Amino acid sequence: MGPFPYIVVQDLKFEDGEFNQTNTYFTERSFVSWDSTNEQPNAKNDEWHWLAGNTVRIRKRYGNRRVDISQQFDTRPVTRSPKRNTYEYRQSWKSDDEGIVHLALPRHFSVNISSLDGHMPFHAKFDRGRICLDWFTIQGDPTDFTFELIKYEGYEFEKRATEFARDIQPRLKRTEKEADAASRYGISNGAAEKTEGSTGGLEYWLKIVGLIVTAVSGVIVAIPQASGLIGPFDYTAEALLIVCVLGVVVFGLGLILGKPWRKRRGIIGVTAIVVAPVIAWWLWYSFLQLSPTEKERVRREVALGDAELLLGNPSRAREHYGNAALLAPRRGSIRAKMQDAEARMRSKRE
Amino acid sequence: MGFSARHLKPRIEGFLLIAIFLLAKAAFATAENPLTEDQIRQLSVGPLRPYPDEIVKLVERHGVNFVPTNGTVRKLKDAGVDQSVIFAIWRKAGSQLRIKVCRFESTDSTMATNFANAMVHSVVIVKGALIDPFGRIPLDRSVCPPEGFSKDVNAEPNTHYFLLEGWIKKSGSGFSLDLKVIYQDPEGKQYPLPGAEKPPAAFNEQTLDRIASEVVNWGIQTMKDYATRE
Repeated sequence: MGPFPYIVVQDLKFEDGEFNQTNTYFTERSFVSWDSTNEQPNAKNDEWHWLAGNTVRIRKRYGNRRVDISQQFDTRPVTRSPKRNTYEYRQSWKSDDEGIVHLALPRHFSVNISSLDGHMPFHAKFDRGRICLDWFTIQGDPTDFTFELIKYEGYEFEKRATEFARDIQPRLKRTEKEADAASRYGISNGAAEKTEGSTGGLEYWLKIVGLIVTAVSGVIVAIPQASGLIGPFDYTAEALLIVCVLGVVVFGLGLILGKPWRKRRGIIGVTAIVVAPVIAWWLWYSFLQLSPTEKERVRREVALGDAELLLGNPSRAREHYGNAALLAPRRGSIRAKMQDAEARMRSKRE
Repeated sequence: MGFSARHLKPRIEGFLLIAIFLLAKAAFATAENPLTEDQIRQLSVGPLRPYPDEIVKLVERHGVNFVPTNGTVRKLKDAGVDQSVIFAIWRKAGSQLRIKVCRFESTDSTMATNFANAMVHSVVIVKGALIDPFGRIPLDRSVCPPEGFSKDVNAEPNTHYFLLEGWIKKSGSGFSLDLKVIYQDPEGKQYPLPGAEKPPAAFNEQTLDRIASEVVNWGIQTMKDYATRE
């Protein structure tokens, strides 16, 4: 399972001696689960589109966006072969983008594995009484080919379908192209090892996390007293500024890794990654950094405050620390000293 | 139009209140605890180490609660106290020091009063004692009771006193003298100082003025000896 930008579901049925295939297209990114499941469609508030006899599921929402069927139409891709009980299936799909094609065969129909040579799927299963095949729609791969279907009756089909599911495993197509596609879609080895949480749109989460980190740390840095409240640390603001830059870098990576490739904003991402440290340095240089004179004044006021505390005059110490805090409001250590002086003033009064 | 006394009165009361408030504030502002040797040492090696000028300001504002004898100064220097601070301590201590004549105890109260008057006369002529390194220490013209201060004569706050005390006894045709110099710190504690050599020991009515002057000079010498002791 994994998120795909382009999904084709082919539900082939055999009724009254006639083949009919319903082709359903999703052209917006959505999350596809082709693993076998014991779950059933739930009429109320079901979060999945259940398709092809419930052998494949597609989430109804991706992020904040609703996922609807883009196109649905019927075709008749099967012709009877001169041989008894065999049929020729003509597979074809419109290849607008890279994605996945899921085909569910009718009950009692299996596939002649050797007829798939050159067009082997990356995944196959026997689920809910139907044999299912999945292909990646990789650009440059053929989108039109044929293979042979075999009809089995009764218990014979169950046996043959199980054999098919077992025999095809070592022959599934797992070339570099499939591995690359699987990696890009956030799934591994073309199969279903990973859970949705770990594969669900890494670039999406990078963008979200990057934005949140940038916003939170940026706001705290922008408010002079806020960074001083975090603790008795003098360089909290500088540290938060670095975190802010890292947030922008993560956001930029999210843009660079955007899928599909047409939706990537690589230039914006790279620009953000390059520009963020420069802007951060400029902000530090212009606003956070103290001039040597100011630094000296802060040091002197803090030293005078310490001296007054030593002489038992917390109110004067508070005054000096206050002067220092006015010059360097982001220094947490000064704020801590002010609080200490205030506590001593209170205990002196009591 | 015009101001009547009735209108003016509340204003005067207001000014008086403000004046009282300012005076009270000033009084509190000056009531700083004088610095101890230990505090000066801690400031010099601690927070104000790079800012001896700030220690100088603190010394000038607070004063000191000790007499910076040569021995004390050496200890401070050894502890790393800056020379500018030492100068400030000497200067401030000099302004805090007073030499005060006490009325000597005697069975002959008339003679005691005459001797005290003679000493004050000598003080007026001397106009103050030059004691290095403090500079000229003011001599207090008013005579205090034999034991120093009393309910009627109060010590000034934050001031070091050298009290010139003594006894006058009838001895043959003249009088014998028993002298001592007492150091009183700003907290009011008194410490007798070892007297200088050759104290005036006797006088008669003819030599009263000269001996009174010698007693004052002896007292000043005792203080000098104390200031220079290691």
